[in-house]
Amino acid sequence: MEPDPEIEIAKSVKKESSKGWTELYLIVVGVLVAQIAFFVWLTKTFD
Amino acid sequence: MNPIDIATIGVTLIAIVFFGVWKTRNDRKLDEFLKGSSNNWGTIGLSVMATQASAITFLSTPGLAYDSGMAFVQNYFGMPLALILIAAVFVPMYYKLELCSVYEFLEHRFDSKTRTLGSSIFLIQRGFSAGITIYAPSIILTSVLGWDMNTTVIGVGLAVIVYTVTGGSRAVSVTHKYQMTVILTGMAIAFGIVVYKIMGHAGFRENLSIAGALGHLNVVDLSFDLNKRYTIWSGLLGGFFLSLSYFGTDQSQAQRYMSGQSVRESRLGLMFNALLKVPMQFLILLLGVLVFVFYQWERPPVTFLPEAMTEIAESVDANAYREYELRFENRFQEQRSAIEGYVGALRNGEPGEAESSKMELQNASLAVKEARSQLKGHIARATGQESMKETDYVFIHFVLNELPIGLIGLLIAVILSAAMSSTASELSALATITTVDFYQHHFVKGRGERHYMKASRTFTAMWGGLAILFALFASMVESLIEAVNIVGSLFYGTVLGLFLAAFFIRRIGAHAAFIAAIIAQFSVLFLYITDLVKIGYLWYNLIACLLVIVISYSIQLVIGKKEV
Repeated sequence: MEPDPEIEIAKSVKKESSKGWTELYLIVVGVLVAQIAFFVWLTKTFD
Repeated sequence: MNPIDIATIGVTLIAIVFFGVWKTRNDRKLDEFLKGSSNNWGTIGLSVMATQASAITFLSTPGLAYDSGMAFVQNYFGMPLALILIAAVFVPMYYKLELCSVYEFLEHRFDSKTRTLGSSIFLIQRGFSAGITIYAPSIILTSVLGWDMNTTVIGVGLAVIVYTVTGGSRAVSVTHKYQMTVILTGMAIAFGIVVYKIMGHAGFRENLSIAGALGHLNVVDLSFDLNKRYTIWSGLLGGFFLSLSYFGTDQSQAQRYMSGQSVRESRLGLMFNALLKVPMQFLILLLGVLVFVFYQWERPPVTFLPEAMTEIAESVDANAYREYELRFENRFQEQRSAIEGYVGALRNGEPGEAESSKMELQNASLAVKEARSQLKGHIARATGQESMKETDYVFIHFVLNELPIGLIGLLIAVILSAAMSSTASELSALATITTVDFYQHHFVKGRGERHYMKASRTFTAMWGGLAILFALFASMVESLIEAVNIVGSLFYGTVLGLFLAAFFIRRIGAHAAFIAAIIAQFSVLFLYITDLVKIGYLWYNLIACLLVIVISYSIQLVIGKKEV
């Protein structure tokens, strides 16, 4: 039976998505959380 | 204007146009022209940033902070999260399908009519934005510098058309790097100068305390109020969906990161923005707050509106004008004494004294605001231009009056570079979509590369001409930066709904998606026009997106099985 090209693409996309990128995405989320925490501190301190 | 400033502006802008044309002089391939396909992550990162940062960002954002503080930064909280999703899911899929237009993806997943719908929505809203992108800085620069409006609009528009027509998408990417260098250098210098000036009166922390006491360091609002424009929740949720649609489904952005050598370069370019965009926006707003503090120490003009307007108001009723002016002057001097008292109390370190001085300062500030708004009301009545917002003129007033010769030219070059960079991305994307999704897809099929290259150049020039025409005949709509965001929020949600359904809900078929998108788009426009539900504009994006998904899923349930 012929493989569904859409499923094949989705599979290869998923494979490529997991090559160590998760760590980078977590760093980005961590930086965002730190920025928001800094902004909350700034608001509480000076407002 | 000083000849040195004029020379700075001229050299910067001519160099950008020349560089764009020269770097792409040997490009002959259609793929290079429509996509550009050899950029590294640094170029992609700067190009994505330059596309989003229009002249409005540098004119209106500091003015917004001057007027109401830092809360606007919350709009960007959802952006890094959206960029992660795009980098992880959208980018590899777009690369695999070798897309030139992102809306081709809708045809791969649904059908041709859904692709055409997505492309049409893009052309409507981006065509409108391209006009505003040129118009917004032009009206401000012409009114404060005395330049001719038509000449400015046509000059900026033609400069962009020259290098986008000759070099296409690749010229846009290479010029973005140098435009961002000019922009970041200019803004850093402006920031340094305002800090230097306020430090002459008090320490940096004391100046921040003044801003805080006057309600200008309200960065985060944790309340769950749907009527408020900027809260952490609307920023995270609404900002997430707005960014997801802008970066994931808007050709003007997708074309920037799809111009990479590989998926890796595109993803790194997006993560560059995910890390730097919030701090950059924060610093631009902080610049506005520091300009606000500067004008608490130094007497600001009675109004930041252009001189021509105050002259009209004065000529209509000189006595009333003088009375308002005098009242403002007295209130300002009282406020200045209150500031000195507050700083003195902070230095003494006595909490009770600091608190009472703070209240005194707040009362004095309210009196200044009232005197200023009375005068503004008088000017508005006299000139008949009640919608003109003072905030758009604050930063340019500071630049023109407080920066030394040469740097004034650099800062105006920053604003014009920003206008050119975002317009160039828009024109290039509009031309790509017109060529690929309409001309090549529906009207003239199977012709050679040279034919489509010529067509793309013609469409680029055509969209450039339309943007110039729109800018020449446009009129002011609320604050400029908000006008662009409102238009984006009204149209982006529908396209995003289509993309999310395409990516994540396999059950939904073509007809269901198409009908749902039409219903969602009209519903959101109806809600906005009738003002039936009073909500911040960021929520329209989310509502349209959810409507597409829920309605298409429901239709699919009724139809029964997936039909494509």
